[in-house]
Amino acid sequence: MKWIEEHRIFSVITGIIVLLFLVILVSYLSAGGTTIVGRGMQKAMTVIEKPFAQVSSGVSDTLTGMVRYRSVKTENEQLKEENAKLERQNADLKLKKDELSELKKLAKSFDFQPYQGTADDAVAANVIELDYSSPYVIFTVDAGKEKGIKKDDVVCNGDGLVGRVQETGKGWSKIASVLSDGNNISFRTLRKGSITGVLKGNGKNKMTGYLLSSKARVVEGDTLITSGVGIYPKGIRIGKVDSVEFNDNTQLKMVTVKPAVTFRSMDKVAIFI
Amino acid sequence: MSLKATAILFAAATLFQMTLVDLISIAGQGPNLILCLTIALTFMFNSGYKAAPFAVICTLFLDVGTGQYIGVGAFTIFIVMGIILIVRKQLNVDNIKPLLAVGAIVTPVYGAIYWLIMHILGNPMSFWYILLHQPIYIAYNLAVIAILYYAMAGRLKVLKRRKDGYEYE
Repeated sequence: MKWIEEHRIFSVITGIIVLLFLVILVSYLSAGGTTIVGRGMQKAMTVIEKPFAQVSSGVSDTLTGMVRYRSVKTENEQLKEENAKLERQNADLKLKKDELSELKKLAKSFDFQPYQGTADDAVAANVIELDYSSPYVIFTVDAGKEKGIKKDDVVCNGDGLVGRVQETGKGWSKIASVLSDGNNISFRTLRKGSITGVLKGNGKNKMTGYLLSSKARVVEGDTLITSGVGIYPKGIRIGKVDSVEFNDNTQLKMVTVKPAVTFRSMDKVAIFI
Repeated sequence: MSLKATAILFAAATLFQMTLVDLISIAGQGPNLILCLTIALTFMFNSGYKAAPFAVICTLFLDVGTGQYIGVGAFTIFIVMGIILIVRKQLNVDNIKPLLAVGAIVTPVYGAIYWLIMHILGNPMSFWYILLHQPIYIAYNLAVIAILYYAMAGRLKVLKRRKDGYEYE
């Protein structure tokens, strides 16, 4: 102890060195790495560092923006232009996709008898004009005489019977839909071919008609197809029975039918020439 | 410089070393604030040796937080401090130029000692790698030392002595 007192500085220095040496040795023997304390400190420092980093990043971005103002502006304009171009392309693609979907749906029209496999006899047309007082009772499409369309040609889409051509000209055709009250359609049920009747539009959004036999049993939900009598070929889906009533005055079974075609979303039709 | 002020300076240096230095570092290399503070205090003040415990504790603290082995940085800074204490006796401690020269020499010496201990402990880092990075460390450290010099020069107290006229505390 006396020696230590006499050599105080030397003793302190040696003591510190030995202590640090021991710390290193223990750390080495415990395979180094970050200790639990170290990990805790790192976590705490990360929390402290975060706001500094955010401020620093903000300052750095601002300074970079100031220094590179012209190039950033040019880059920004280029990106805006590119963005506008991509948006246009996207809109085009979306339109094409919608159109493709419509056409696919329309292609189903050709599955109806007797048109199966005779797609050459059909003309696709876009709905271009509606009579808004009674939408889709009468409407106009963009194909006409130049494509061989003539009066009373049958019009369908993927869902079923749309109507018939009422009038046609060069580049246009007026279609009287199944909702038109001047459009009589002979039908039969899909479930049983012997149950037949006649339908016509009510000028609104449904069709009404009667069964030829008052004893025929038609139920709500029955699918009706064209019978082949009249201008409409056999087998085209017309719609589903919405209600059935017996009319005491006429002694006929009256039906109300919901069309198979959703007129509101109809953009394209197929006209069988 | 009082022990309280020294303690505050080292605490601030430790905090900044673990937080702000990363933000101003170039390719992962930034100033070693504790080393800079140790160099400046040890060189400028006659009582600079009193900074030793703070320097060792703070470096130990950093070792715990970020070092591969605990104690290597603390041991190195203690050795470096001893070197500065020996060297300062031969130099003009009132001038910034010798301080910067010491800073420029001590920085790679610190790196070399650190590398040597780590190498003994099995770290595969090559000495050339350490040397290649020294210019940036030296530049950073000298900038910090210069700032510390101008910030602390006013705190030097002149003790009048009959023998040679004056001396700093």
